[in-house]
Amino acid sequence: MNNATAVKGNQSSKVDSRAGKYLTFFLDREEYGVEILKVQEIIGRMPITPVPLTSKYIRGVINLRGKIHPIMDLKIKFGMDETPMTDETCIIVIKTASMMMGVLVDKVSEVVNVASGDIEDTPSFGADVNPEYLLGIGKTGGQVRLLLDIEKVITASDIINMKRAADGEKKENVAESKEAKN
Amino acid sequence: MNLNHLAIALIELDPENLLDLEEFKKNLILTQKKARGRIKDILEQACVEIEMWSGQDLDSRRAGIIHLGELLDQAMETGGVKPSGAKPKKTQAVEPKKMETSKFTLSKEFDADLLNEFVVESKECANMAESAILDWEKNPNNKELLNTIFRGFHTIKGTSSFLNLDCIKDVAHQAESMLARVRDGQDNFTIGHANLALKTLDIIKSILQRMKSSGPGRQIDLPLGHQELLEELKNFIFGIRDSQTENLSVEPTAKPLDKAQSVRKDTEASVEKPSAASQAPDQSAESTVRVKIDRLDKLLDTVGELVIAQTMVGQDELIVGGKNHELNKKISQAGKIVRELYDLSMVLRMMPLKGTFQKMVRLARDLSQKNNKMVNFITEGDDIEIDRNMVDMVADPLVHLIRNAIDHGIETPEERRRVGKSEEGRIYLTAGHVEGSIMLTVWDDGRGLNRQKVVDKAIAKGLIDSDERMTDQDIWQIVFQPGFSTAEQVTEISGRGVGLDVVSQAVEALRGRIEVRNTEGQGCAFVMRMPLTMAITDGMVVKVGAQRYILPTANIQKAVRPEESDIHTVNLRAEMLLFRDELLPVIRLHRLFSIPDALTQLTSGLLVVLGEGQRRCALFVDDLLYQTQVVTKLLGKGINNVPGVAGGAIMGDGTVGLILDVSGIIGIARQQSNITT
Repeated sequence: MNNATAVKGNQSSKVDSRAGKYLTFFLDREEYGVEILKVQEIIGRMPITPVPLTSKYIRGVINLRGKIHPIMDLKIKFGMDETPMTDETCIIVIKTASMMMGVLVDKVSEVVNVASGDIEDTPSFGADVNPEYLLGIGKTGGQVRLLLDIEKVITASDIINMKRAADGEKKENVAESKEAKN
Repeated sequence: MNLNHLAIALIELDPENLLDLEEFKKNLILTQKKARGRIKDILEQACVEIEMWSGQDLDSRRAGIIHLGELLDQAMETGGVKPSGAKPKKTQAVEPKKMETSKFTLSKEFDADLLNEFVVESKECANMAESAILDWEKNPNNKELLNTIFRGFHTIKGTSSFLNLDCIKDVAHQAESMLARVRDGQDNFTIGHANLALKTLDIIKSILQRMKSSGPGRQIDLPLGHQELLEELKNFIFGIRDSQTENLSVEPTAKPLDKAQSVRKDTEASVEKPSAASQAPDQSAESTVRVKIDRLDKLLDTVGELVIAQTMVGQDELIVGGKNHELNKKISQAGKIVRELYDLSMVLRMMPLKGTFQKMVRLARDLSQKNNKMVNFITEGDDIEIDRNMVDMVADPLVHLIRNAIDHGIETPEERRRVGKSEEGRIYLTAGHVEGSIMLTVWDDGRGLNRQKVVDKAIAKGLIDSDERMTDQDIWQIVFQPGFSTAEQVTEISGRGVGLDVVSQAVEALRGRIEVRNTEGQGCAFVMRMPLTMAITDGMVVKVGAQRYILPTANIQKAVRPEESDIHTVNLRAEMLLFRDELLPVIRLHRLFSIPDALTQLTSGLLVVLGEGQRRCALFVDDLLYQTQVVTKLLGKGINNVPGVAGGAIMGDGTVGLILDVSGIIGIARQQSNITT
């Protein structure tokens, strides 16, 4: 009898480097996964100090056992609405070669083992998320999870945003001049 | 020195290392002098450019280095050489000697730890020898110093020989031979000897540095001039005054030290570092241990966290409001011990200024020789310790101040004689403790600042209208403005109006202040005052909306609750505060940082006057809460350079408080007004 694996012969003769354990979580209704090896820890919600003049998706910084880490709101980064702070909101602390950052998520789900065969490449259309941020799509146990290339997501590109202050002032001026007119 | 060598040196140039830049400049100038024709023109331009940006900020220096590379490429192409560093076909107008830099491969069998230890110990040896050489120049009769110098080279020769490091062993051996003749009485120790010995130490240190940054099994480029130095040393020993040793500062014809120092009184010499000549050779009386820096940092971090955790326990409601006195006592006791532990560990971060001061001694010596000025450079307090992170930052401003003192302050020996001063000028570099701060002073007995000249220049530049109602101190603060200089002639070293600006910024970065004490015709002193450690910030917590920020106390002049009459508007846009007869720009923090729910009425909140001299502002906040001392922490990679934010701190309630950077805030505010107007 042929092995089931022989059917997918040409695909799985070498193991997909993206296979492995992923920590899955929810942003709104969509489920995502990050490689478990990059996860330092998971903490429940805690007070975040906002830092001025940073991009909108940087919510601020937190104190984690005496060290200060920046926190990114993934939903804002992906163009969704701001993450509301509920009892289920969590911070996943990601550790990469160059930095540590916490990401804010709506709800943490579980740790799943995603096998080579379960991974498909990202289609070039359809996903809300910029395909550059995705390693691929994992289908384990019938559920679809978007596997994030978290290093690309949290690269310190445009964290500092001077325009924000200018925009802030412009908005105020518009409001003020509106008032003045009334 | 030829173009190839220069090009290679340029690639290795570290824009942050001012002393390296100085060295490169020297070589560039020498090469330019010996060049001819088109190449000479190009190099002249390079010299002018490097002079311009070498005193500026890091970015300018980087850009300058890149442009310099292009110029050198041009020059090399003009000379028929491929810029890729291949052997030139026709000899440059410089040196007919071998052009390639030699390479040296570190044996793979080298244990990385062993290598490290060797580098560290040899550096110490070299520094000790250097210090002894500089001492010797002032105390030529001290035999003990000569022994120290000799021992230094001997040790370096020995260990490098043991490790088969020929490149170091060879130069050390030659230097040792040269010094052996002095020790045995066959030669007198002259300035020529001193210069060669110092040059040798420089080359050795350079090799050590390269070894450190590469590793076993890797190839390192020998520093430029290595081969030449070897030749020089050999020739020197055989009594041939190599005419090419002219390329260093002093004439090689032996000028006995005594003659140059004859003006000096013995008493002054003895004012110097007490750790001088007569003491027993090297090993310090106290025993020490070597600890890796990152282990130390981890220890300090953990102790810091302990303090915070302890504070949080102590501030918990159960304790504060509780009636359990026994428990309170115990917690209080534990708190005391924790704080003591903290103080002890903070001391571990401190490093003596000795190393920095030594660099300055060397710099002063080289500069005064180059400038044909006679300078007695005296240091005091080099055993004062400051936070090791500050040590490097302190070197920069000192270099500029000393350059200024030697170039502009101290007069030439003839001029000094004419005005009745001793031919030899004096420059003091002192460090001292004052109430939890450290004071660094650079004092010279030169011509001092001329108040009228400063005023005239300032008026000419449009900085002020008149000097009425300006105190002396106010006038002196003007000299720190970028681009300000009263120098009639721009020299190689200074005069472009860049140096003091750099000093002012550096002092600000160190959260300190700088003051000028001047007596025209007699001398001038620059006094820098800064906190002992940057690890701890003493600050005022201010409230804006629902947010709290920490303002470093060092920057705060005063806080006022303004009346309507104190606020003036310019062009309907810019608000100004009338403070002690001056108009200061008002910066609304809530707008700058987009903070919701903050007070908007200036008269309901507070205006905090921040900054120094011309760079001042009035920051609008809701309220001042309390004064505190916090451990300064970085905000985490990627978010470290937020303008206006110097760092973060863990507040008593466990949340993060942002420490504000006053000059950053003023910078953003200026940008803002440019955007919106």
